[in-house]
Amino acid sequence: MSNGNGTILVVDDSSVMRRILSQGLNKLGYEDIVEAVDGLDALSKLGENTDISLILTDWNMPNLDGLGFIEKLKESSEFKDIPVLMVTTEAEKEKVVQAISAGAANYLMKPFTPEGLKEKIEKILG
Amino acid sequence: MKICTVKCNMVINGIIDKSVSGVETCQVDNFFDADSMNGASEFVFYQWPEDSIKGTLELEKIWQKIRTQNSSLIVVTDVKQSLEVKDSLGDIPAEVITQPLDIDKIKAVIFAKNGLDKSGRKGSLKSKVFKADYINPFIESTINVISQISGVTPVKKGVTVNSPQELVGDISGVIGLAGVAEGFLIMVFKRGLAEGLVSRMLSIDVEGIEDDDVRDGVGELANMVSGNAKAALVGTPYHFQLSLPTVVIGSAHTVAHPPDIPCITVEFEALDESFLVAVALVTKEESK
Repeated sequence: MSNGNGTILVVDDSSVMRRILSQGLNKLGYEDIVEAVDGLDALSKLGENTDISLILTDWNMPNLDGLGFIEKLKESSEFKDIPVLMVTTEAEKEKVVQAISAGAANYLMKPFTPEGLKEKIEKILG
Repeated sequence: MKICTVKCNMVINGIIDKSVSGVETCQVDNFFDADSMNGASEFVFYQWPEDSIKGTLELEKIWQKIRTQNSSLIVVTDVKQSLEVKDSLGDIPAEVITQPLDIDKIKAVIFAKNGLDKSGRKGSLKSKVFKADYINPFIESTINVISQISGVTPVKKGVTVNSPQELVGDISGVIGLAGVAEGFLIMVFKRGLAEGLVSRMLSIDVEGIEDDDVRDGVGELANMVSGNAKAALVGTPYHFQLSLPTVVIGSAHTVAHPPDIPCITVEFEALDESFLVAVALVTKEESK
């Protein structure tokens, strides 16, 4: 992330949203960022990058959506402890509960403010 | 729902006002007042004049103005003139009601069109009910999403109910809505405005914006606007699930929506250019 603390994986099928998230993370001082276009790509990127310490993922994506990705992640003994922040337009309480139940550490509604992103990340990373 | 009265006297206007509470009404004394007629009234009342030739000409002009809006046209006349009025309608699908009017008579006309009985309860009539109240979350969502992500606050310019089937623009984001309610959202932009908004979303100059950025950015805007509106509609008959966005690009292309689903189009202005948000959403009850 920053100061050699690992890499953040940003998963979103929208390249614009990936760039917005990456820019937001850069401003917060997180410089090592890897991007993935959907859940399947994210699993592949996890295999290629051993120092990922936080994942930001969208919900609605082709191939493997965010919820399916989290479920796969939690099945993996290698990656199940990496915290996940769900960043999505799915803002209903029912969806939040579903994501948290699946293993998401926290939840951020799009569009988000830089302050909102910072607050959620700090809550997860302490 | 909006009711417009054209050349109706004070008594008729008063009775219509009292008949249905909470309904937006407009009174047009000169039917050439196009601004007053725009905004698609669900019901247009016209008081037939003593001169039948004048009435026939005016009725035709009113019909030409509202025929694309799926409005119901009601002609108010005297008993003695009613047969003559009906003969004068020709192909115009207007309903004729006779004076003296009272609240029950107006309610009967309005409720019958909406498949309700005189008390406003669901009746046996099978005509489709079309309510426009689902649009407000989409209007608020459009303003909030674009304002927050680009720093540009759109201004709502107008709303058209039962809008024309074809929307013209350079880049359009389309989201299918399915679930408890079904329909679609279409956001239609001119190229310059789309580039302006996306450049602000990415905090880069417009010159640095590429085709992929515009396509992706408009798709994401449609996604976020739908998602935020969706959250506001939880627990209502208009709740829906989102599809992945589809984006159409092409100079002055046309997006046509299905003719059998009533659609509401909202015009906004941002960065001195207008853009459209068209939403159709039909509940299972309405689609029966």
